[in-house]
Amino acid sequence: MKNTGAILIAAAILSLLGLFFFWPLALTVKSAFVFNRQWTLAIFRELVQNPLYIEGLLNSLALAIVTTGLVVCMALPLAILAARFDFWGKTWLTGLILLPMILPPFVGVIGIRQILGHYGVINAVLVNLHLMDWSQTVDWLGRGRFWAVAITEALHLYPIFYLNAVAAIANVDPTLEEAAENMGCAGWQRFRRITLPLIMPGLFAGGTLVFIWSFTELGTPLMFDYLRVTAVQIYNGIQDIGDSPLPYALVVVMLVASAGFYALGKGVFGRSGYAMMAKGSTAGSMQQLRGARAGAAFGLFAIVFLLAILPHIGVILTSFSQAWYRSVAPSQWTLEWYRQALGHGLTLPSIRNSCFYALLAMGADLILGVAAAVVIVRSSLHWRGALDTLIMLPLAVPGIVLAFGYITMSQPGRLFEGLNPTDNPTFLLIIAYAVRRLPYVVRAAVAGLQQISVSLEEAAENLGCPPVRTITRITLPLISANLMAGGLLAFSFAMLEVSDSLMLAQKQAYYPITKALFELFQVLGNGPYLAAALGVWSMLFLGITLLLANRLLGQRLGAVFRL
Amino acid sequence: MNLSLQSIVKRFDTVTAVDGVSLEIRDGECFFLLGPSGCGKTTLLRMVAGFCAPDEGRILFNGQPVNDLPPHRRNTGMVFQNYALWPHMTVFDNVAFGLTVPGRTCPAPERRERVGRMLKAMHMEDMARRKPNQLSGGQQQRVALARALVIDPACLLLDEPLSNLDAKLRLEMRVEIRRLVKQLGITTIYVTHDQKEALSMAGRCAILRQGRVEQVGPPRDLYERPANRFVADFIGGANLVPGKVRAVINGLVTIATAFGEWTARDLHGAFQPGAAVALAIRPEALHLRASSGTDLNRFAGRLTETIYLGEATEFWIRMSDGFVIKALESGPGIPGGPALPAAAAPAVEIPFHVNPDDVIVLAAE
Repeated sequence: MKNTGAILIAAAILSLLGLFFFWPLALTVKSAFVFNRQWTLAIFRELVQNPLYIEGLLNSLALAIVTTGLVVCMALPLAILAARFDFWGKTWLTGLILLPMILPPFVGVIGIRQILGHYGVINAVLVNLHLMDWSQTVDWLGRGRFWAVAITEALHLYPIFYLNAVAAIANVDPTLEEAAENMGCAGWQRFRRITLPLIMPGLFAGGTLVFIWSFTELGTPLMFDYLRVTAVQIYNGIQDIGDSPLPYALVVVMLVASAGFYALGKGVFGRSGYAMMAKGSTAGSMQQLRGARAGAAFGLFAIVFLLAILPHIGVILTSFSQAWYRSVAPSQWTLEWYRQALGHGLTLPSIRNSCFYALLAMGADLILGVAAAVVIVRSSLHWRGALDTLIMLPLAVPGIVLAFGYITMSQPGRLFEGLNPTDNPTFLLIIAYAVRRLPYVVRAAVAGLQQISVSLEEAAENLGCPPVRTITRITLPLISANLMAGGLLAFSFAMLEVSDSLMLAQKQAYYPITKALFELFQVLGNGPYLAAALGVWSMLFLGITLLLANRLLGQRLGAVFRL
Repeated sequence: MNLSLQSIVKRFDTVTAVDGVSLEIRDGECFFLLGPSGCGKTTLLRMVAGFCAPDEGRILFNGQPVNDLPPHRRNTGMVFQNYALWPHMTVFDNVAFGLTVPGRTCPAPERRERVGRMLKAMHMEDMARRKPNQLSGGQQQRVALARALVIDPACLLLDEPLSNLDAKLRLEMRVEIRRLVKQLGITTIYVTHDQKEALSMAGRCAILRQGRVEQVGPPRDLYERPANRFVADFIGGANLVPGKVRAVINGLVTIATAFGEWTARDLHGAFQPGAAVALAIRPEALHLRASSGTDLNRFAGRLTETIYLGEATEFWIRMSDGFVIKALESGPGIPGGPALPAAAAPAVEIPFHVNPDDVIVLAAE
């Protein structure tokens, strides 16, 4: 492609990123260091001396470590099974275990509380077995609720790691392993010495995403009332953002930590991956499992799947139950909550709002994503690699940090005062959703472009087709599956986005689904039931979109979730 | 259309892919660019198509400079090495594509007629509704050719079009492409690394090495009168024997080599006694049986290898100084000569002689 066109496109994308990504972050960082118009470290000194914030930070770190550990333990064996073995039921089991992604974990909290709480399912089972009495029940969520938060997040995030791992293993050229076997190195030895080092970059890529995600997760701890984590402390700090600069410092700490983990995952451990001399043809290396081994593989998948959808089942049952209290299953069923939800001022408008925001964000992502991918893959600009890296950066920045940045830049007296979300958050919400998911769309489009040979486009130009028309007639139709999948992912993640939504939507009329769920859950009486009903609706909605994406992208779904 | 390349230079980073190439390609000519991989031949073709721009030099179509003309306005028809058939279109739509672009759009009935005629010429009329992935390699090749030709391009560009076909199909397509190009009388530039393809199809051929033109001419000239050692070796694989000119008498040159004195016809009249030269001798020019005639160029060496090739047999003969010279004999064994059982071969002392007309004297470089 012509360089002038590429430079124009790149400049447009970079200026958008500059305005709505780097500028808010820079402003936040500056606000943490400037107090009364003077550069100072006083704010950080205050932060370090406050045991509450230190505890929050340590808790966040511990949550991230435990969650990532749990995720690896759950997903790695599954990934190896899926990439290397064939067994009965594998096709639909591998699809099913991706299901937990369709619901933000914090909605599952409603279900988990029903199951593990004082008057929940587990205690009811124990009482029914005469092992316990209602007067001395155990709160299985635990005192600090740390483990409840970690497990809920792990059950939600393991598919991301799983997809990365499967892609990495499937990419290993089977002849490399056969060569090891040929020299007498087989089984566990072969895995440890050949396979594991080869797939390490892929595992680190997935692990880093999970780590940053759980380190900065806002919704789940909030719903569990586990308030001493940095994300929640930042959220609670928005109210007095005008008076106290402490939240700025917290955000900066979180930003630096996340960016550091990202750099670590990408630079030190991840590298760029090893180039395989040949693509692995999985057909040849797929081993058929039979009998007890097949049963064990099936069982492992089934157990993880059942565990992962337990919270969702809890939500569904809650939404249909008249009362669910001191019993294994709801004692009376009803559609009352759905009827009430239909009429409630929070539910339907929030669905409408979310669809509107998510559609516009998806549209923006598709346009920017395709343009960026064309420059990255097809232009000869020397710094197109740098452009690629810059566009991927939103992955390293937690939603809560970016949302905080938007609030900062729209404070009275700032450049973007007019966008202040207290009046109307529509524009900032769309921008937030779009910026955060742009990397996924770009990756999907880049993957598509790399798969189609340049000569397909050259052939069209050679026959007299002008460049722009070549893109619409040849390039776009050929990568349409990738674009649809990338767009669907951008859309469903925008629908699921928690931290941006909770922080930016401050007026009921503009609430997206997640914020409405959170507010409903707080309402005493029928609130949690209405939240459950709304949760079921969004589950259905997102389940269908993700299923479509999986259909369109197949095995390549993993490529979208890589760093 | 006649095509003129003037002092073309193209660099990629630090590598000079094309280094001052000038070529004149005449109207209706089938011109070949031949050379080993990395010699710049594909880059040259892509510059003619407009996919990359020369750093220096000019490209002229019928005398008009086209350096700044984008690919879609050059009216060339290109067949890509991987065919580049669009997988989301049928065979018909692929071929019809060039008739649906601005400036070349024609009404649907005419389009159907032209595409149909072209597919018929390629024996592909039954495949019009298929998708490219339902075709064999040879069929894809025909579609790619039809797609390039249906637009009546000013010149046809072929980038190693036969390299993805199996040996038998390659021979068939060679004949077919030659017939088509001749019949249409279209100016054609054909890029290949396969010397047999070039020798059998080319009107004229340019031999390229490391971005430079080594020699231009009809196939017979290149084979019989190579301009230098590279051309002699690249086409037909000659034995290159180093030597020194001893005398030039009556149009005959005598050359001293490490294993004896050679006599060659002096074509260029350019060699002075004492000059260092290289002799290029084609393997098939070595005669392995005693025959009447002159006593010139008679030698003997030890047989070290016998390589059976089917229609011919190759013999490796080690001379007294260790130089290995290769001989090629058609037909089984050596007619009229001693039988050569494989086991006894290495011990056999084998005589041969070469006609002075078949000894090519080249500068030593």
